[in-house]
Amino acid sequence: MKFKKFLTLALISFMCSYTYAQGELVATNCYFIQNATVVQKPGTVIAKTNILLRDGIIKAIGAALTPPFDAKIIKADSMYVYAAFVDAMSDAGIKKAETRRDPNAPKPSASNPTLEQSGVTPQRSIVDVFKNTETSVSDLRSIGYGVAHVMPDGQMLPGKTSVFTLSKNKTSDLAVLKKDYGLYARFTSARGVAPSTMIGVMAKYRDLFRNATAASKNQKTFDMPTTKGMARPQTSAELTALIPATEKAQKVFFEAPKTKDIYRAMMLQKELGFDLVIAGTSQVSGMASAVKAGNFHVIQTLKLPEEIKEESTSDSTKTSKKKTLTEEEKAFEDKKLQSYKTYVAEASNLAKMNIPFSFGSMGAKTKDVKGNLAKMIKSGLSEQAALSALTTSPAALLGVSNLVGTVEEGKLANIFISDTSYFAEKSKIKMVFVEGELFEVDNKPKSEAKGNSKLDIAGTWSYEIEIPGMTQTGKMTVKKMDSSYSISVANNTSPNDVEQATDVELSDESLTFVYSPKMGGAPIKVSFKIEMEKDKFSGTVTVPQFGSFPVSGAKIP
Amino acid sequence: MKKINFILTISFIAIITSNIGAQAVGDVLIKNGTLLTITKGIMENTDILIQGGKIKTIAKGIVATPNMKVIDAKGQYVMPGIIDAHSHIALDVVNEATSPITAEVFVGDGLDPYDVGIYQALAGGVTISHAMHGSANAVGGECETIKHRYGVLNPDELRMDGAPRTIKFALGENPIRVHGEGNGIVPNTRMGVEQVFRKGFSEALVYKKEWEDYNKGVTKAIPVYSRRMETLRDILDGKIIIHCHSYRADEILMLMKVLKDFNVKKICFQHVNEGFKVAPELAEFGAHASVFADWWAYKFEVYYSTAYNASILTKNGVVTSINSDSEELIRHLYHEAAKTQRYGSLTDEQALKLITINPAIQLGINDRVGSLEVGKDGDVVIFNKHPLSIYAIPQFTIVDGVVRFDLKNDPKDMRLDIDPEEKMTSTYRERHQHEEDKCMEGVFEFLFESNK
Repeated sequence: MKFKKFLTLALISFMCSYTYAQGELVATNCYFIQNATVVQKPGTVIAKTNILLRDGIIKAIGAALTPPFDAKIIKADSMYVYAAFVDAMSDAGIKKAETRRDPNAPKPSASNPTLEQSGVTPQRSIVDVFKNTETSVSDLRSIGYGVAHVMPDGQMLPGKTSVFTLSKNKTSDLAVLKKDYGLYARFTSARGVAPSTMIGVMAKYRDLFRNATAASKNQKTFDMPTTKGMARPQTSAELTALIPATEKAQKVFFEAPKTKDIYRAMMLQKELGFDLVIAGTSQVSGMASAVKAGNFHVIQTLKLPEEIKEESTSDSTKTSKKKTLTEEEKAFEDKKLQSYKTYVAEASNLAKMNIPFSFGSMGAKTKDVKGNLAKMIKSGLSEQAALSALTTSPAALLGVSNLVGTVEEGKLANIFISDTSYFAEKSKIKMVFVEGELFEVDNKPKSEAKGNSKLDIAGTWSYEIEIPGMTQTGKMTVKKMDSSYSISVANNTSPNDVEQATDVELSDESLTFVYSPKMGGAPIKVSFKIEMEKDKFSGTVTVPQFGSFPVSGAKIP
Repeated sequence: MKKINFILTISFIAIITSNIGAQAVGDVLIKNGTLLTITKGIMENTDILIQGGKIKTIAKGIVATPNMKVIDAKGQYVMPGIIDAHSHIALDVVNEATSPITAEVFVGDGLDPYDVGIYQALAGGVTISHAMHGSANAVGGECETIKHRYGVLNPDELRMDGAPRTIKFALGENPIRVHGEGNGIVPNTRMGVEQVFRKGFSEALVYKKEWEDYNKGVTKAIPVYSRRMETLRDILDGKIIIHCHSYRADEILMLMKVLKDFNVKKICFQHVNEGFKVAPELAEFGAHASVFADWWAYKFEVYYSTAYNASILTKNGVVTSINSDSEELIRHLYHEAAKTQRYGSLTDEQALKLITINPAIQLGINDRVGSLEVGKDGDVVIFNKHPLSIYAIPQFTIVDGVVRFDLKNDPKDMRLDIDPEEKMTSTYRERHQHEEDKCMEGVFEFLFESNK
């Protein structure tokens, strides 16, 4: 009798432990992380404690907690729990806009283009464009991120930014945490129409902001009942979209990769008076004191230049390689090494100068992020400062400190579990929780999973680059060498100009190389990045000062 | 050896980024040199003291105070820093070639303090250059007068504070080719170029009235703000000096007529290869001329030229200067000036004026630079021989009392910012081979981009 009662109870509790989440039957939305070391926030570590997650919230933290009956217990002995990272600047979940121009459409007027042709689309929202099914989202999540501040794609004023939660399969309106949070601004010029240079872009900013302020004032004047004899003010969606930025009601995230860009963004800020965030920079140093004086928040990129290893003078096997370098080349290599070290030390410099900063992953490969952080820490950035820039600092910047950034009761269940301290060299993230949803991280090296290394790309291929208004075609021949590939490229404009491609690199994701045709005298550097399949490929081609264009090709049998 | 080089490089970078950049002015005493003052004759065996970036004393036997930097210029020649009135160094962008009038852009927004060309200009004794917009448009962008304070990383510190505003105009084949032939819009002929100016100025007058009406309360709505119209209006109000790229005599006369109609007086013609044909007219208008010593026939409109141009203009009373419009030519402007002694028999003083006080007048900065006078900026260059001698080599170039070029002691590689992924060792970078003058830089990409 007692046994039957027990069975019934067990059956009921078993059924109760299944809950409905979004119409899907999941085992449970209650997790009990047991006996973990919790890095609650930068500088606060709680050893051997438990965390209870329920309904997407961190319900409780404590050593004395006991797991409820319906909780899935995660044994986390000797494991570390961190708040899931907040990406201050990302392009995850956004597919790059198609740059194909309709060949039948009338050619835009170079001197008098529409605002859209000039790259001015500040009214654009990415809320409906963001797709959390994109691999970029799962890649970002698997390295510990739970929230991303996503930038729209485009030229000088691509649109408004939005803050998204990196959950799975939620429709975009459920995935958005902050809709149209900031205004994204860049120095990228339009192609073929005004403004076609950076100085043209700066002049355009001055006109746009002033006219946005005027449009707002004119509307207010017109709306006053006492106003007589005033025509209805003409305005546009673009100007209206800029008004919050002019009134300092909306932050302007200005993409400023280098010192000169930071200087120009700050110059515009001084003239136009908007709330500036210096976004996506890799080189503050030259302007550091001015940035500090202006009290601007900096979003430091997680991308670092290609590593230059220091040659140890005691390594005799390497010196034989060095003997072939001339005096001038040696001095140059030293200068490059010093420059590289400066880039790596940028983040620690920001911390030392007490300039508020956050990390942004945009432009960096997710597989490089942890390694780059390690390099920055080795160069002087404290772990605490690094963790702040990954969690509490961006959370504050994005106005979501009450929701994420720390492992505290009441906040969203955005955490990740690492097998040991995250900053240890070989640590691995095992699980990531985003709003209480569990994601196990697959740590298998990607090369085995993809199997593309078996692909034979040798042969002759035709290619087609889509540049607005024209198509550049040509052929390339790929020969397999011992450890890499040799590629010779020709183009149909000057078929006799056959060039050897440089910097050829084949990885599981893509084949990259640089082709420098001599178009009418000066060589143009064309960087290819393509995904190869058995008999076709597609990807992008980048030319400095022009931009990126789609390229596709097929194998010639 | 590698280690010493390494240490030198580090210490250089440390010095550059910490000391010189922060210290915009300096003190230096130059002793025993022959001073070529330009405006007050030649002073042999005289000392010149620069303090706080300004020339404090010119006299014999100045006593150095302890900790003062002293340069012994015995047997050497000291002259004011050379000024180049037409240059495109230290700029990231030269041409916004999208419209026949682009008065709204400002090349000063695109200053590049990292350009090693600034250092190379210092090696040629040039302390100030006029960083200009290109000649793709009839009305180009505003230009910037910069001081060659090489080593500063903040672009603001390159600017010459207080220098008058200048703007680039262009006549002739360049705007015609870019806009008429390139985009099928006005101007497609020299007649069209004239109408671009007249139309632009007329529209600026309308714009001026619109804003005056609003400011007086006649109208209630704030008028549309247009940076382009603002700048054109400022030209009409006499606030900006026009520097106009020009070659042919007919178009030079045309522009003077247009300016007379709109009551604009401040103009300096640039290149002005046929200036010798209209020298009296230029002098009567009060227009200035900034020319090449001997560079012509690279375009049809530059066919009819002469090496005597600078001399003829000078002798007709036109304030004339010799410029480079090139990061190569800027390194030996003193030799360019010397050519006027062979072609035109200009005196030493007349020739040296072409690269010192005259370009200073053309840029409106002659109250501060262009000659060695007490109170002027401490911009000085020391030559081993007389600057007009073919054997002259600059030894020291000083800007605001700071030694920015030291022939004997500067490290070999003076680049400020190295891209760690850079492949080339040499300081010669891939530059586009410009077909003619640097004034058309950037336009080829624009035409290629939009014209298919």
